[in-house]
Amino acid sequence: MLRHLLRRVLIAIPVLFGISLVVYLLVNLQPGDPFVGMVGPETTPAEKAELLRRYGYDDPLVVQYLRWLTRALAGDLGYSLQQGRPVTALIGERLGNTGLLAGAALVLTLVVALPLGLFVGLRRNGGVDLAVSVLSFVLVSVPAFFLSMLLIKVFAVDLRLLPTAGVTTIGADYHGFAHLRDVALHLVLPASVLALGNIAVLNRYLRASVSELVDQDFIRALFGRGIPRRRVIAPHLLRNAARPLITIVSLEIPALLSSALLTETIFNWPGIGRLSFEAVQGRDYPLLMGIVLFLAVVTLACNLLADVLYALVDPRVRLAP
Amino acid sequence: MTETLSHSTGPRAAGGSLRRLLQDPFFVIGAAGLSVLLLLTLLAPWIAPFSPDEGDLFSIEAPPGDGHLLGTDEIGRDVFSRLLYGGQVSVLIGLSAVAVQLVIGISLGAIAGYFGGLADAIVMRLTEIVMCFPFYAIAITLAAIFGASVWNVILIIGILHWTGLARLVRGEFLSLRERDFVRAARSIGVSRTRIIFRHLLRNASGPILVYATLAVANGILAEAALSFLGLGVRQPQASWGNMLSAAQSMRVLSYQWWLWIPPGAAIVLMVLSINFLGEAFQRVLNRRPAAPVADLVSRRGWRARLPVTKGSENG
Repeated sequence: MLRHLLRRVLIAIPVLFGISLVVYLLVNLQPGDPFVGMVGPETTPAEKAELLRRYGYDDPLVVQYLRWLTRALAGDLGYSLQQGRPVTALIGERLGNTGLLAGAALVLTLVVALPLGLFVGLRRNGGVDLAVSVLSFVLVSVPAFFLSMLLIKVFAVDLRLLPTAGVTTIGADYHGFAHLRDVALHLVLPASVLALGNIAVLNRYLRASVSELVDQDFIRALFGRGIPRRRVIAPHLLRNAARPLITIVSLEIPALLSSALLTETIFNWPGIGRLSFEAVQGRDYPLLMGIVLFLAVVTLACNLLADVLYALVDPRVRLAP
Repeated sequence: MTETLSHSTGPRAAGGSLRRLLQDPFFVIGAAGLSVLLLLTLLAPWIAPFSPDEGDLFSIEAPPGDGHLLGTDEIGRDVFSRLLYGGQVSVLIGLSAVAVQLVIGISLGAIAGYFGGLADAIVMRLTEIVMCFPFYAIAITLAAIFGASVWNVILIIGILHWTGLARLVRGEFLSLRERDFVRAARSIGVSRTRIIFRHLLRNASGPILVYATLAVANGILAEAALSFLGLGVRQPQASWGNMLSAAQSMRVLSYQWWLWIPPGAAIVLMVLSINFLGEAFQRVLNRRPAAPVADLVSRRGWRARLPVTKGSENG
């Protein structure tokens, strides 16, 4: 186990290095110098050149990269051009909101997809299976932002049931339970949009794994001995189908963070996705790069976690050479 | 030497595959939908009642009817005509982006799968690096740096989406290269290029076709999203994605359905048709049960780890 773990970590190191290199090169590709928007108009070009030289702007690219890397490893991703504040602080502020949205979407996905996948996996080629199949096809074919707009039109504009933007009602001063209810109402639409696409994917996976398990000899043998259905399904079938789920969930996190970008932008949800869109609009490259680096590292960490968890629940993986 | 080929895409099997395709409901529905949509967009110069760029200042944001089948937009352009021409751009981007993916993905996948060893390690690390960047975050960053244009959108989608294809080709090559017919070819001195193109690539063509089909659908979705955010195809040129960005205004969303429902519906129908085609190809050519969702799964790397389908990635 330890060897397997060590191998995965060793593989992750060059990947992490590659990620940092890509991000750094992108930082360097951007037009303008780092003092745009930072120095006042009274600074003469000569003074600016002196400043640039003093901060190592003329050093070789490799030296600059290593300096940047050292700072990034220490958690310093530079300053936002627009707000003049540390990038890590800005990301930290928005992280909670994205976590709330992604977490709600994840819970919603699991609550719907687990029973549904089990059901259609056990009753393959039935009416429900066909309906779910076709619906899954439609769901993966609808652009998330179009789905968002349809939901906003129906539930917010026409039926006036749900709010469309932000985390809380602007101007309202709710406390305690009223505040929770307000946030929950704001969560419904964006979390549903995020969850719907994932439900289709997860359901498809579960259907495949459950229907494969049903055909396995050990399950057939249990059924063949006349053991009641529910005593086969829950302890044997479900346990084996659920085993890879923990891995899937950890791989789901980066996918959710990525698709949250569009959803947050549309629903004005002040999370990391919305922040990166604002950074693009304001040409705030340090902020943008900080977010990209952050998301890439989170993705890498989740992949690593998935590997480890998978090896934990499935001995075949860690025992394989 | 009695080994049968896993993917019957050779000339002898082509007739049988076609017949089975024509009997597959997914193929029939997908092909019919796709043909209608493609014909409409390709024949746009003859079908479109108005020029897509010319505004009629006397009918601005007019509802459907009165000569304009789907009404007009904020500067009086005919929505139906823009929809037809916009489709051309969306399809062009979807196809070109896949062409870029095919070039990068097949070359790198073939190198990794055929040569193995160090080449494989380098290609796989490169693939993992690209896969670590969440698509939309890095796509909007690239669009912001290099500017929004049709060609940049094609390159961005192509450069970010080849990883799944490379892994697929690598997996196929790894399992094919040790098969008897390839060993036999090698032993009688068939050249390396000939083995790669004639024996390996050709036998991997089934899964590649399935992947490429689904990748067109994903490309169209990605174009729509980027253009919707204002980072893809730019006005005045129409694309289905940038027509939808009109609905970012609450007024349009609430009262002017003809400005955003038609392009959205066009994307859904197009992508759905392509996904159906991909499912049919998958069933007939690969004889594995899978779906566009399986493609999403493989892009996230699940299939690399989990036995969802009788995997092609077991090296």
